[in-house]
Amino acid sequence: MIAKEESKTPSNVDSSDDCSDEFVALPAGFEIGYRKTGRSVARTPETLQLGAGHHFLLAKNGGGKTTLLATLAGLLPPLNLSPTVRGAIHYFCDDLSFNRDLCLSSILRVFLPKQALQRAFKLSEILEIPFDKKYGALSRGNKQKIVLAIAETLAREAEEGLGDPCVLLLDEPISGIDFVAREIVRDWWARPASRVCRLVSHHPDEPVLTADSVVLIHQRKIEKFKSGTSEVSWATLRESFFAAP
Amino acid sequence: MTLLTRLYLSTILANKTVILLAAGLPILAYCLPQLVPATLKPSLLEPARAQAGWILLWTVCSGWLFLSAASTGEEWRRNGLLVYAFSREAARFRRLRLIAGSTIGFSVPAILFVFGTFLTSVVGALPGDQKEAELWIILNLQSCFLYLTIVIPLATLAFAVATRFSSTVSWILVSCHFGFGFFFQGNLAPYLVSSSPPGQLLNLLGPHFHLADLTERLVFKMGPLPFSGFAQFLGYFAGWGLVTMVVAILIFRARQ
Repeated sequence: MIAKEESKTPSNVDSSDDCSDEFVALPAGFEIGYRKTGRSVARTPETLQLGAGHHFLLAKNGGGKTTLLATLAGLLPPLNLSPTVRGAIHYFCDDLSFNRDLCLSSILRVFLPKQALQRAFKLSEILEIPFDKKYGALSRGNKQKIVLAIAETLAREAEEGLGDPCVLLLDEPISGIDFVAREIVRDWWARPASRVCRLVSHHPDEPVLTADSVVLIHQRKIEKFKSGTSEVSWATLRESFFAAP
Repeated sequence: MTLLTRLYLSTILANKTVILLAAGLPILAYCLPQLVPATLKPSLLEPARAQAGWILLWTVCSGWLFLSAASTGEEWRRNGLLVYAFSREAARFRRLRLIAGSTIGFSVPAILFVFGTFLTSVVGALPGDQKEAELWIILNLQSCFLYLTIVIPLATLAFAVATRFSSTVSWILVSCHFGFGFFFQGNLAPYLVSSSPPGQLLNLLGPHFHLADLTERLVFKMGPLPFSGFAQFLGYFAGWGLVTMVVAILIFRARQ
């Protein structure tokens, strides 16, 4: 069902991964880590490309998920080669939060263009985010839902040509939200995309990951797994983690 | 408006301190002189209003504005908002653009406060004679420009230092820097350091912010600074502002 992607050249990859559609490209030998200390966290053994769609990023704690996302966002300089990112980058780190006195509508107005607000309010309503409470009074899950609503609004705006094509880098965005909201968000992410690339770091608790591909950081290697279908079996990925080095 | 400008303005409006200060400054400047025995010499009441207004403004700047900028810097760094804003900017001149965005944000309350003080001084203490009134307005306008030239870069510095250290450290550093130039160099330095060569050098190189305080000219109705003198002061403080902004850009840090 799932195979480690072996293709390096555009000719070997399927149409959805065509080079012209690439949003993120990491060259072979690309290394992430900390330039100050010279510590390398992981490297790509072969070229890794992500097209439009939804991609999970999996690794153990401290495995380099945030380091990779921060490098793609330009916050950390790569140790050697430069990644290519096409589209407007939006990096939502795992502890993104707002001033406790702000209300939901103020936050959405700050982050989104005027024409996108109606959509953002609608998505917030679907996620059942309380409109009347200040940010400081919201539960952890509801706080995370605001970030998800912003990200999804940006994605849909881009998808409909109302905004620039974008790369959404989401660091553990659903770790604190309830199971109902998780289902809703997974449905959002499963929608076909041509102008949006989502790279979502995640600790999976479901048997099957619905995604276009999975980027795995394991034993200091950044590799991409993909399948012919849009589902990636977590059971198969587990083997990679628990296999002897 | 950039993301950081919108975010700062939304935040200060949401916690309402800025509204309280913008309304409170003119009211206090108007009322405080009434508390002293002004009836002994009523002619002193009007200049006292102007004096109270400008003193309150400088106090609010070193108190609330720098503290607000510093706590914003620390909060945004901790909350990951700077990381998001950083990722949104194109690679070239990222820091400069983020600093510029936040500077515009800090300028808004500074302009609001100075406008309130200007109105208090003009409405509450305008001389009756038309010629004197014109000079009074010019002098107040000069004070406004000098105030903004000093305060806005310092608020940006407070913000930038807090993104690297903490809001407390930042506020203390910037307030000491401001206090050194405004109070120490203006009042104490001539007596304390004029005898020692290192003290003289420090006094020479320090920021002479006290030159921007034109309260004495207001109180004693000395008229505005001559244009050449005002241009020199403005140029001097703009130079200090430029240095401060460069330091702020270098110190600024988006990541935790």
